[in-house]
Amino acid sequence: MKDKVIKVDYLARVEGEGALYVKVKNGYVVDVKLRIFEPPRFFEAFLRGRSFMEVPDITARICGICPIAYQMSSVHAIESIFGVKPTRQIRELRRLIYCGEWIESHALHIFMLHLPDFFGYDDVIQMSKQYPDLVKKALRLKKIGNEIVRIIGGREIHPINVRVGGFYKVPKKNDLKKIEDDLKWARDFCVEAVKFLAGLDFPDFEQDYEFVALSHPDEYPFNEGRIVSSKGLNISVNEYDSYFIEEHVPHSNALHSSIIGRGAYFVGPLARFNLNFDKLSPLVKEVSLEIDFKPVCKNPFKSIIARAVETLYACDEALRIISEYEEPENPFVSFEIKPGIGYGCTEAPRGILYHRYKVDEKGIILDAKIVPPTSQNLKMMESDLWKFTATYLNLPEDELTWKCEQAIRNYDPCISCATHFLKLYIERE
Amino acid sequence: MKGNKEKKILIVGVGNLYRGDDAIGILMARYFRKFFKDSVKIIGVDATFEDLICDWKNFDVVILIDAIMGDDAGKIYRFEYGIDKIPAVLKFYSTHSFGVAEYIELAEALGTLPKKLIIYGIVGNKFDIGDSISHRVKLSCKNLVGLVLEDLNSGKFLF
Repeated sequence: MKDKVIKVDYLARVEGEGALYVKVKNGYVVDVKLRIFEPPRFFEAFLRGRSFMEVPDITARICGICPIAYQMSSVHAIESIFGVKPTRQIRELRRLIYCGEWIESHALHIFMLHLPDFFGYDDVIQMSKQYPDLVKKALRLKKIGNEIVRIIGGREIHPINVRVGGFYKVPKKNDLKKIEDDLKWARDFCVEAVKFLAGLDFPDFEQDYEFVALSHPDEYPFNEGRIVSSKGLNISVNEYDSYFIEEHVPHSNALHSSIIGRGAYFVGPLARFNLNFDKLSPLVKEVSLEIDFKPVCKNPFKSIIARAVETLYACDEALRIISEYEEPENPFVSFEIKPGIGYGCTEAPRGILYHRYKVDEKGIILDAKIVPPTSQNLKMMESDLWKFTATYLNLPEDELTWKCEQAIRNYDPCISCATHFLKLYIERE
Repeated sequence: MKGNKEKKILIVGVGNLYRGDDAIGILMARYFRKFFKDSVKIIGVDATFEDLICDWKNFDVVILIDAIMGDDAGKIYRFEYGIDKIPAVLKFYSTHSFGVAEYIELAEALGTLPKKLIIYGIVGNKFDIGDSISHRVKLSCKNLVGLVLEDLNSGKFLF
């Protein structure tokens, strides 16, 4: 069939609300639109006039899946204005709570949202009838991630213990020791899961992506580092606005990001893995090499493996931090409020999350800019759809539609965050 | 709660405090927490339902309270899992791709349902961010308290 329209009115298994429209004319793809119709929420606007102290708690409300990322990017941005240098133990606790968020968010996406695509099930409910033990283990894994966030953050969803300078209260060593056995189980399960996921059938599809992630000289990135890319970009976080631009497109309430003069780019687990493989722990590198999963992987469908590798890393790293943890004398470091502009960029589960704030001499927010990872991947998702649909145009309509949805889920889009969501239309004329 | 100490009871309030009528489940859970103190476990759930379906199999009775979408705001529906069929026109409200009904189905597939699951759905019609709770939904809360107490005090669960 030379002409067709593929429409998915309501894309399932993504966080938020959106739709996809693909138009094919005379055998060529002529239009792809990832329609994001969830209304914008104006967080940046209502941060203006609030105290800097409120920012971590307000921005945490942007997402129920990745609130830690919002808290972390915001506190780092504000701390850069005041010249705050967190102590080693506070830094380690921030990495640990981020491990919790990666575990719960990645587990949700790998097993509940993405894996049913590979088995041909409509959803995890259907999949769980065939694979109940796997789903039960996945739920246990997610719960362990939530538990880390609860212990350090005060509660699983929208935690309330993160503040500029550190935390309001820090956990006792014994509080963390209690989850060590669960984390050891989680680490073993992740080793099994990585090997299992590597055996899935992946569509043969690659693009010449520009992968973008943080890079730190000593560690796999969570909170700190320079912004680097697979095509030579290497900038400090405060240079972000000079290299990246957000644009409004008529069919989306979420802005589209691009690298100025270069275009679409790819953030998230696959980008981090490709750019930071050498910083993974010995166990994680060993397991990755055993399944022959190594950089540079350019098949976005294999993001599910990268996400599982990172979950394994998060369990391993959490165990390291807990074993070395000593309760800090003070839960936060003191600082003086100063006016200025601050920049923060941390690695949310779905990729880099950029925050910029301008504050006055009293610490009141004068201006805020937040660029979530899904906004940064939207242009790349549309690019994948252009090429993927063109390559697999001869597939039966329902199979092509399914694969298009899967191609979007490769990115684990969080549309609620980006609007700041998903439904698919493929039109053949 | 005479005689119910042998039974492990969980009351679950489901919802989102910032989306109008969707807050009602959480608010009712908070009310019951004060009412029952430690005799009944009470939790509020917004987005951690995956954890709940792992844990609730350890309870004899689970009473779940949530807002549901419908035209007759304030009307209370009571469903007992395995006995009543949830009418197709009623959907549990969820801002995520999975709603309460789907999680119950997942728990059934995984064999993690509690011994008895009672679902109270209060029909709401204001679910946008920042909405207040509808007057008719507020008025129905008192009736809901009575219905839950009746469940817990009735001979149905051998209390």
